Amino acid sequence: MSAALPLLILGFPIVGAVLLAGRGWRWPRTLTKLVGPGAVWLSFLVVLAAFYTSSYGDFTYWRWIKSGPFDVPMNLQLDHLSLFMCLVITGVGALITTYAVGYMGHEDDPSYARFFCYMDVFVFSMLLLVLAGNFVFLIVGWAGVGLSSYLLIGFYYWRPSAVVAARKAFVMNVVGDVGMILGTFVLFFQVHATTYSAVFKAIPRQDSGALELAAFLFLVGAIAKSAQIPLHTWLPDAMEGPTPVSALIHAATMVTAGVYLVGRLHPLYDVAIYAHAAVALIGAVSALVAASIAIVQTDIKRVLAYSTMSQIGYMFVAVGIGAYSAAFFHLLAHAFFKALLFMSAGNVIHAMDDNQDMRVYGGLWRQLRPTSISFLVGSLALVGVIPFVGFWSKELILGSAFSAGGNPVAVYAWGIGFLTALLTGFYTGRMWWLAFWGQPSERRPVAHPHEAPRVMLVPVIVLAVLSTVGGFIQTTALGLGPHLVDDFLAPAVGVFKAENPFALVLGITTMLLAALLFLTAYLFYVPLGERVAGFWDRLAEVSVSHPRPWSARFPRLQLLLERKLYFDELYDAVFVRPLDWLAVEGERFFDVPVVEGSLSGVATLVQDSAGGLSWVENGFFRRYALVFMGGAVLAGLLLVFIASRG
Amino acid sequence: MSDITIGNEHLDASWFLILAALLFIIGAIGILVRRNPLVILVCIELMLNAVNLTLVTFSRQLQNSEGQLFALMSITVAAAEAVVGLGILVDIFKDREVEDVDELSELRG
Amino acid sequence: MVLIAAATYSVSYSADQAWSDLQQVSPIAAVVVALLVAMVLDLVLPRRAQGPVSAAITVIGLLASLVAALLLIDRGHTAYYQFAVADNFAVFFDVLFAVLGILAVAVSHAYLARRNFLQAEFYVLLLAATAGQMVIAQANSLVSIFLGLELLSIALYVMSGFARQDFRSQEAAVKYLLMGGFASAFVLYGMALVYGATGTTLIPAIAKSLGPGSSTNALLLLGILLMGVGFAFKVSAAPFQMWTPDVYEGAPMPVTAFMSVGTKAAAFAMIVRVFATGLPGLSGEWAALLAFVAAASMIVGNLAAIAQSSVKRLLAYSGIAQAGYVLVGVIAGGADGQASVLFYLAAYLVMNFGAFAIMVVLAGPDGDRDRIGDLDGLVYRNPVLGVLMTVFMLSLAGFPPSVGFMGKFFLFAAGVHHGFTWLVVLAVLMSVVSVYYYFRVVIHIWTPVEAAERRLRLPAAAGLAIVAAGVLSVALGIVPAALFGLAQAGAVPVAGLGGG
Repeated sequence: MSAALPLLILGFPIVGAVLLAGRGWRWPRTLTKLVGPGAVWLSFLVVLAAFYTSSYGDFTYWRWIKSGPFDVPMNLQLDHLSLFMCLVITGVGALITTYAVGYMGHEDDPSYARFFCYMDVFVFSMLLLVLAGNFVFLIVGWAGVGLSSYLLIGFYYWRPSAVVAARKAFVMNVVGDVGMILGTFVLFFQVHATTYSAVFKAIPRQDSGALELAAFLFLVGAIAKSAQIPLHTWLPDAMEGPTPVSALIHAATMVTAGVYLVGRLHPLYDVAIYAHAAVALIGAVSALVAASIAIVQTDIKRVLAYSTMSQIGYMFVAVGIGAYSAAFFHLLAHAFFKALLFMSAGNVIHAMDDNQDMRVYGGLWRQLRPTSISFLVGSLALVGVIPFVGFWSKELILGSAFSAGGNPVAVYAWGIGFLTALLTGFYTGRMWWLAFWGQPSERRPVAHPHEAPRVMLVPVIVLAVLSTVGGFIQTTALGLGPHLVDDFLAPAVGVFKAENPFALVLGITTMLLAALLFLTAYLFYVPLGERVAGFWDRLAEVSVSHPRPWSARFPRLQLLLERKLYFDELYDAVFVRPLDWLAVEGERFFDVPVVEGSLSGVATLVQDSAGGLSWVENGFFRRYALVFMGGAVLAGLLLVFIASRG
Repeated sequence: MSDITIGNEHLDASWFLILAALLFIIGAIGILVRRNPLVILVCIELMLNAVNLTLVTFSRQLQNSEGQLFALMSITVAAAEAVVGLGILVDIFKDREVEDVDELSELRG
Repeated sequence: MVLIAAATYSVSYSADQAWSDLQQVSPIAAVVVALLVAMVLDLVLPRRAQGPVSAAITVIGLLASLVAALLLIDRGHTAYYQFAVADNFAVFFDVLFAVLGILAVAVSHAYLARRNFLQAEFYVLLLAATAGQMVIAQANSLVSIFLGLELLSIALYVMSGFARQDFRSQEAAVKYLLMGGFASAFVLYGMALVYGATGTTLIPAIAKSLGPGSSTNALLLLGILLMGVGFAFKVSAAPFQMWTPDVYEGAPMPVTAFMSVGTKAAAFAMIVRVFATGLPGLSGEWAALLAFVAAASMIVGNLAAIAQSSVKRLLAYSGIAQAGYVLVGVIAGGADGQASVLFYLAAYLVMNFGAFAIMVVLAGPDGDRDRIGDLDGLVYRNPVLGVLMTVFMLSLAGFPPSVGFMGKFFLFAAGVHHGFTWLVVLAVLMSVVSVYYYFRVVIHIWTPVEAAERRLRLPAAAGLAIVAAGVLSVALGIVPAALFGLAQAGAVPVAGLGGG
């Protein structure tokens, strides 16, 4: 019976997707509303059943291929880690798809069905990714989430910016996929096995150089998927997708796949110490860079995107120092509060006629009360204020890093993480005060916004509640209380042992400083005249006299941050433009002459000589014969060389 | 034995091979420099016949009939190829006079 | 005056021997008989009946050939004084070509009627080309390989120019004819030199005659060079690939579909037979030559494909790149390398033919619709075709769990196993590049269009063939064991010097 559970978990979303793809565009909308989220809810129920019946195991359904050393069983692994991930994916996924029923309401029927079809494909791929029991299926799921993410970012395909963003995400993800595939190849040629269990069993006997190589290659995959430096630039642009997509894929689940990967492969990373340290360093640097860029972004979803990148940086730090369960706790917490933030932001964007510029909001607190409260809860959780869930998880990571004795990387990571926590307080405060406080902006697109419909509010409120009380399942950040996440994940990823006598002090200090910065942002971003009179006013008079953004005083720094440290420009030059060039030149030299009728021979000849490829493939027989002869001569020289050597 | 006897003349086999190689190269150069498709077809035939000469030379030299057999087959095939080639060229000449093979350059890229 | 001894072979040729030899080449014989019958019936039948009847005869002949080939599994030996052989390697290719022929008939039937082409002639040429492919597969001598090669090529020259009203088709035919003749001359010269160096045209005998000094024998090396160049031309490997995009684009779509798989598979049969079986002692030399060609093909094919806007040309360049991947398996050699080649060619049959078959269905009465934009919204116009085209593209790109992934895996694993890691790394990198253009096609398929109501009618036979190819593309990827078993069985030719 329990062997059927993973199949059921995977089965519901894929059946839903197939139904929607096949007939969805002709269905009445009600049916789409039922099938789209329904598939995810059913899957969630099965996951719950598996959770309560403790149906763990490594189920092999059939041998995919057995030939010599190459043996791939089709197996799904339902252990504590994959079940934990399944709970997050289907639980949060069910809430978000339900929310999308309202959010996507403006679309016409075919687009509506298309959206839920892609979402179900995504949920399926993500579940396959975490349930896979071998590397081949891991890659299938890995590619599948990339594909559905690509489709969903480009969902509004009539917007050029969406298409460009989708392509960017695709290129970056392919870089990661190459890493994954090469990593799998390296492991396969080392140990001749593809299942996790067989590979992990063989790891202690392997040459450490090959293991380091494999671990680094997998790390490339992880950072591409999780938008860590230097493969992060696709994530902010991915906000071109519909907001529920940002909430589910680009905040709660897919982008955390890198964290899952390192956690899943922890027997490898525990041995490959250099790659392991690199995980922590990349995480720490990404956290800091993303948080600093978030300070100057004006698009509310982009702020959240950079914040996501920053929070995943924390998770990378945690898995990088070996505190796996802390990372997964933060993954859970982040899924709650970031999905909450995105969905509340979605409500705001909906009310503001799809305008995402925070500077034109202002004063929403009075008009969108439930959404504002939810957003505040999410913000406080993000800043890490007690008792919200973000406090417990983030402080656990920082505490673990601080107390990981003998690991110098961990201490640096802690320092950077601490700084990031302060920046987080500031940019979150900026976002909150700008959008919700003060007077309504004069440029606001909608003067009297309407609160979102119930189908969009209920999931938000559920997540708000979870973000408030969810942290109490594990309160070890303060050195006391329950540790359910640690206990649950211990069989899969082990226990991180670190005594931290200063936990309480450090945790509280970090929180207080971050919260203080959250409040300080008020002084910077709410104009003087609009402030609610009181204590802060008086403080403001002594501290700040300018309502200008602080960063305006450092124009160079602001420019650097606004240009996102020029990563986009760099990648554009290295990756995107050569491919575009090829396509454009191809259009000019090959397609245009062919499509628009034959140009006169001479003109074509002159044009054609410009490009190398067109020089060869110019349609002239004698050129072909010449290249043929040239190739033969080259091959002959090669043969002479070989013969003369031996 | 590398001598080949024709009547009373004894000739080293390599002369025949060199002649064949020269014919082959002349054919190849003809393909590269000539423009008329018909002439190019003739050049191909020249190359094939150069090979036939090579084959029969080896056959005589090795005292082994396989080379002759191969040459016979190759002559047959060359004839078939010439027929089909001429057919295709005549077909295209009906539509337009192609004096230069480079006029056939609508397909490219 | 020396009379050349005809006594190399036994002169007595009994009826039993004739019967036994005929059995060995029965797959070819079935095709040839069908060809003759179709040609004769074409003369006597009324015009309306010609098309369906010749299609039926072609399919019957190919089915008979398929059965004959299956009956030869593990029972074949050499025949006709060792000029032909029916080892499992040959049988594998016979089956492949028979299946290809049947699929080609299925997709071209409606196409020929729609474009008002001569039907009977088309099928006769198709049978001739198939016979040529099978002769190559069953050849055990350089002579028979050359015969098969020319039989295939000459039939294809005519087929490329089959759209006689279309100037582009004529241009394709002329280019293919001239380039093909040029390459054939190279192959023939190479064979002649190998014959001169070894004194025989029989492939097993060539292998036997090689000694330690062979690798410095200039005649042999030149022979390898010239044959290698010609073979590379036939598999459309760079830098001898220039004809491929032009001919693919100009030729009518079903012809392109047929030859994209047929010539490639036949040429690989030829390469493995001549190089791996005939010249094993010189594997260092020809492997180096082929490695150069493979690397060039992967780079040129994949980069050039990015710039294409015609699906035919895109698939032509993709085919050039795919030839490079398959060459990795040939170069690797050994039983696993050869098995991976056979597996990949079978995979290539289903996925590449499937992709072209869908383009055949898209063609209109006035010509082929092969701009990449013609695929816009395919999935909404005909969901089956749209999904299957996606499957074929993903399979060509090598996404798991498709058969293309499995095939690439076997090829690359063999490459690494035999020490060609640098080539495999290049292949993996270039196949990542290939994702870019295969995906471009997928994007067009899934792009919604205003004219989505324009439903696409799918002829039954073509639909059956396409669906079969699609199902196989996925099924053989999920359960590849059966096909790989066959490929392994075919990989070790039983061709010996005995028998026959």
